[in-house]
Amino acid sequence: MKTKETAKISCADVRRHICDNLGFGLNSAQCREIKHHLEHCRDCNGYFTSLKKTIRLYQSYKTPIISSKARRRLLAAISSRPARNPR
Amino acid sequence: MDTKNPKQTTDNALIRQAQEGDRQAFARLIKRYEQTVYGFSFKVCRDRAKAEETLQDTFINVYRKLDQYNGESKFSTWLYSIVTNNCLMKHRRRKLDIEMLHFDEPGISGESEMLQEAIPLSDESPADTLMTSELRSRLDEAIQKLPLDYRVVFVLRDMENQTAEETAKILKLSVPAVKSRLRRARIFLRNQLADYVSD
Repeated sequence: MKTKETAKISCADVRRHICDNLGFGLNSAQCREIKHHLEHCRDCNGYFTSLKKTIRLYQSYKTPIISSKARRRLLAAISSRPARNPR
Repeated sequence: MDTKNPKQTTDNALIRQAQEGDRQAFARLIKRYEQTVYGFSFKVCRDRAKAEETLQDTFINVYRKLDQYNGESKFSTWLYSIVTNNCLMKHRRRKLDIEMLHFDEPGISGESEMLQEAIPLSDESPADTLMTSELRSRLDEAIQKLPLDYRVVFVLRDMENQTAEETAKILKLSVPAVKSRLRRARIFLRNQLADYVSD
């Protein structure tokens, strides 16, 4: 929601750029404006939080460990290749 | 030779030995990177069997192309470029994308000049977060709807913690193109999962 504090940059502009790195050490004028906007706009702040949650969910999704069967198959496939000639 | 980074030095030593025909050295390289390759493949294709197939094809390619590695980039960067190509080729062959999503590539010149880094999250999420099978399915479904060209950028940047510059090198894209795709991928996934991530 646009208020006096957030008027410099629109919510649409903020959301367009919101998933770039916001703030952590950046000091360009646009970054400062976006950070300022987020501090005062609950809607955009919620949107940014939801983006961070999305990434966090994918980061916390544990990937499976390679099976011993797959490892054996891989090593067998490499062993069956012709030996490399020294360069 | 990089003497400040023992692992990189050891990688280079193993690669040289493997290039000279030492199979044991190559087996050690496999052991060192097999989970990286398998994990990346799984994150992209969300299927164990396909990830195993990609793992095997990737290391066979590495074995065949080992002489082409000249040490100019990190071995891991070179490896990611090979596994990514394998994922992309397999995907195109199988035509896995069910939904044809039209993502217009935005003009680069009008993009924000803001830098784009991985959003720091580790302090907010316990590593052992338990995830329900329903949520895992939702995450799988959402990322599989993301066009593969965008998916690989999201995985490399936000899950594998590669820099924008490394990702650009791996995918042979410009850094602005990587940033643009990452932005769109993040927004797409957020919208797919809105009911989970919105307050």
